[in-house]
Amino acid sequence: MKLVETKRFARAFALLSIMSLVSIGCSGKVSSDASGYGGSGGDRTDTTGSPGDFVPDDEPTPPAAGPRPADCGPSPGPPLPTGLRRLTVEEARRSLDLATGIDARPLTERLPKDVRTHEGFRTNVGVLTASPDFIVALDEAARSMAPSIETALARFAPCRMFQTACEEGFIREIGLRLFRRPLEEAQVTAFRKLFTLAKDQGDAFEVGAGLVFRALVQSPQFIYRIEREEEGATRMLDAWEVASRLSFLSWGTGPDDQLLAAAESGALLEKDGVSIELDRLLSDPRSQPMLRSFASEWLGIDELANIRRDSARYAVFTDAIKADMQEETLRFFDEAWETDLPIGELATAPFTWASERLAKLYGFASPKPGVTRYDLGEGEPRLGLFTQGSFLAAHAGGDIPKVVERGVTFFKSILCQLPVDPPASTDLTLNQKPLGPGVTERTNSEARLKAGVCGVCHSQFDPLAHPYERYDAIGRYMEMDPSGNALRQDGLMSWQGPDDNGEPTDRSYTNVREFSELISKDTRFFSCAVQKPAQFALGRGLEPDGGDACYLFELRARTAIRGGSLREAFRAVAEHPHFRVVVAAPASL
Amino acid sequence: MNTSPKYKKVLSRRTLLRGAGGVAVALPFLEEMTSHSVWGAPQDVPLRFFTVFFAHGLTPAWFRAGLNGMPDANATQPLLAFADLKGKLGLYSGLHQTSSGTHAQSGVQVFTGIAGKGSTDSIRAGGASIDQVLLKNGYPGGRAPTAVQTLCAATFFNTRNYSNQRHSWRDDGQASAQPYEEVADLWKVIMGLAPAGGGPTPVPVTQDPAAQKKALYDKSVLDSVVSEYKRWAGQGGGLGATSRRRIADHLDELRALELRMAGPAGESGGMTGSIPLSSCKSTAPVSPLLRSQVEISGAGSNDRVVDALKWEQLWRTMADVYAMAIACDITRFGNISFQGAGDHVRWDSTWSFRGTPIKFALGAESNHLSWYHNTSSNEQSQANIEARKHTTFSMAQVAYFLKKLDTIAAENGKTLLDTTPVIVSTELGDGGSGHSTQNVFHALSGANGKFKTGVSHMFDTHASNFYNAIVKTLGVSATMGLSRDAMAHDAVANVIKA
Repeated sequence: MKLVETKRFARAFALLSIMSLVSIGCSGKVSSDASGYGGSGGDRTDTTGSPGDFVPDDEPTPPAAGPRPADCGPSPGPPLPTGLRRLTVEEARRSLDLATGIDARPLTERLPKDVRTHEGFRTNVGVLTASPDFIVALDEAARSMAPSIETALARFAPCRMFQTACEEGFIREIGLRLFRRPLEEAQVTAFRKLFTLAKDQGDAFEVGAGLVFRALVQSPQFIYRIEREEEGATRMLDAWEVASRLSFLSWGTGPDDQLLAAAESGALLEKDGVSIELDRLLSDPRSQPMLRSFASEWLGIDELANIRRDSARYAVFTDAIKADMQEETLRFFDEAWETDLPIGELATAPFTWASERLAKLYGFASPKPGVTRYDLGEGEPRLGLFTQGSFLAAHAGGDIPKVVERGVTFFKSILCQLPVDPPASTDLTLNQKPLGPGVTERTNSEARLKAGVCGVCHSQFDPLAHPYERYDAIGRYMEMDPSGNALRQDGLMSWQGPDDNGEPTDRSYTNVREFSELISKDTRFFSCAVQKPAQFALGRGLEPDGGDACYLFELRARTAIRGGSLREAFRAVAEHPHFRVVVAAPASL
Repeated sequence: MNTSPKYKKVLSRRTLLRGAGGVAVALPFLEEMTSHSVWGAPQDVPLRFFTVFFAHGLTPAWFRAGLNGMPDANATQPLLAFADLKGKLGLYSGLHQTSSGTHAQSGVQVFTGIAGKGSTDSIRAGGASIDQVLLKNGYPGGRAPTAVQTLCAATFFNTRNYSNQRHSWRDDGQASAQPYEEVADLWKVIMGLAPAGGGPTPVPVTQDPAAQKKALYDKSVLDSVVSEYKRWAGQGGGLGATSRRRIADHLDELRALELRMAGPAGESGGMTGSIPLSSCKSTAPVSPLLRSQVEISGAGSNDRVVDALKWEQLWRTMADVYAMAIACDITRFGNISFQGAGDHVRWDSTWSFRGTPIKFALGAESNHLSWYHNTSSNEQSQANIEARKHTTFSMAQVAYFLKKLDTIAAENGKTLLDTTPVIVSTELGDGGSGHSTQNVFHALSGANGKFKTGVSHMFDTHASNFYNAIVKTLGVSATMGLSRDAMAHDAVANVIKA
């Protein structure tokens, strides 16, 4: 693959700039710079750029998007900064696999696991640091993979002699894939020294190639997602950087050759260039690992394997059934993705995927071998995502499911709301009784709700757990607890519908099915499910009530206009103008 | 510029060893580190600073009772855990943090003396922790001449509670280093070896030509990598300040790799400044235990049951390895934590404290957090008794680490505990159902005679005055935390200064 002439980039940028200006002109706003973002990332108040036709003015915004925040103009302003982000271990493995064909499992076997914060995802820039053990393990992994260099040589080495053409050819080709952009001449020269060293030591060309590989894998341009930044300013990304963003969002990996070719030719930055590539990427089966990572981390079911329950009471909660539960949820997501299931229906979809073992645990009438799709009829106590064993078990909070644990999880992770912590003087034991005959978690929850100071906050999240009272700590359905107490599933929740203009109203439900219907139409759920892909892709926590309010509104509106599926939420992130620019984070971030 | 002959001597010996080993590889990276490293005025020990955290808290009532040395009927009075360290520490309470509503908020104030920033789910520190203030202002360029700038290690449970478990913060509010949870990872960094049930096994320096070639290749790859990082770390690299800093952090940590290539510290001198080499060798864990070998049952974010004796063994392994990192001069700053702020855990099995068996109550809500939140003025209530057991257990673990430091010889013949400033603290103060951060306990080691030991004092002041007094007494010009009141700093300094 050859380097693109500078002139072609210049033409592409010029075209993009003209397009930006045209769209800005259509909306009646004129920006002071070609990027349409006012030129400065430092002052967010005077930006006048336009998202163009991202959210058409001439089309009513679907109610699911919620009301437009009061202080949002036609432009979302510049994005909040994220700063340099390290690849997750999984991203590094997939990228290396894709780029070189070398089996990159040593990365996942040796590198310390990435942690997930309360903000949700392992892609969060705040935790993607490079600790000493990460660096040592990266070196070890690169070293252990180097003997497999034959795979990469077969792909990228034009010849295998200590000659300029052979050495540079290999460095340029493998470097392009690993660095996700062409290497600079000085870099090619520097890496060639490793070939020279191997030659001087009397070793073969392949040894030199292995040394180059080790250096490339540990270099910042592989292990970090480097985008050039301009201090205090907003900068339009170049084609290579856009290609990287698209591929990491869609596949959780660096770009494939087709995307690199689109970047090289400039086609990616031409009209509809991003959309064309995005269609391809999101329709490709290689988007599945990304989607599965996203789903697992969003729902917090990636930690299911580490959860243990009382072995006498929950003997069936084996590693195998935990894996089956995870697979159920992931297969559910696979189908939702492939069929463009509207987000609301994630809560109510009348199907699931279960192994024979899981089907028996659920009490399905005719368990079948293998992982099979089951239709869930009206009489089944299960529907949608939130009655699945993985979610119920992961957030039960103990051997006896805790209302607060399940409720707060739902409130935070599914509705993206922040619970208020109890004041310092609160008596956390007020009206709480030991569980046993006559006293269930629900009993104590209702006591909390009635206690004025507790009820104010608990009324926000406790009722979100009430419909799941009949699901035990591993997600089995039962109508009576071990103490002989009848378990309920009715309740009253604070619900926010599309016509509520941001003001929740109380809605009652008699069972989990009615509750799920309410959730499916709750604008907070839709809003949260749109917010999560943005959070996942951007690698930072979002500020829904602050600097990201207008951006998130535009994502919601765009997603809703296009059918409201999770795939459209991902697409909205990638097609939003924010996805094309980078803002340098100030030193104090 | 440091002119310490001792330091130069050690370096030259190290270089000599490399030459004698036949691996003719220059170590420009290390040499570069020394070219701008100074300790300030010549002194017999370099500036180090470590913080030790334990979860939940020590109430003022227990502080006062413990000073009287009177165990209760259950033999647990938490401060008794420090009885053997009486002449090594100053014990303080009455130090207040800004009020907080959560464990994340209380945890992030420990050692920073200022409230955190951000929403509940994304709290960052409001300012630098004291170890980072001293690192930044105590060494030119804010970098110590060690392989690892800041070392953090911890045993804790809920891995998602990010801000509850970090206690070393930079001035930008970011954690200065992620804590090691698995001791094997920490060990690998320090020795390049996995725990094998004994002390470190030295990697022999070899004359073997194949090994020499391998070392040359390793070094050349590393050089190539380092030069790439330097390119991006510079002002002209095309990155903003925060991104450059992340690259610079990576560059710093590459020194761990270089250290590993240099072989274990014990035999060759490694990174050791002038700590006796025997100290570096003698600190290996006696009976190592990995976290992955400890069964954690009843898991869920609030409901873990763990064998107390196993967890103690795990902690001791971690503490031993961390002490080794100090002894080998791999790091001079950092934090080690016994459990995260707000951790729920139910200790199983019978634990022995000063010869008395201690049995923890088991059952729903029988965890350290719940007991502490249920404490009251009635010290005979079950909650108070159980909470004291748990806090005693925690403080005994802290004491183990401090005693370990007290077994290691420092540069001047005293122990590392004698010479190294170490501050111990916790998240909560008064106990009870809220999250009171009033009257938070602190302990401070003598720091080579700079601070009083064998004393106790009940302050009534903001903790940031305490931290600033420490910084000032150590001769570092910087202020930190909430309070910028120099007079208040001096008032505290007058109490703690030797």
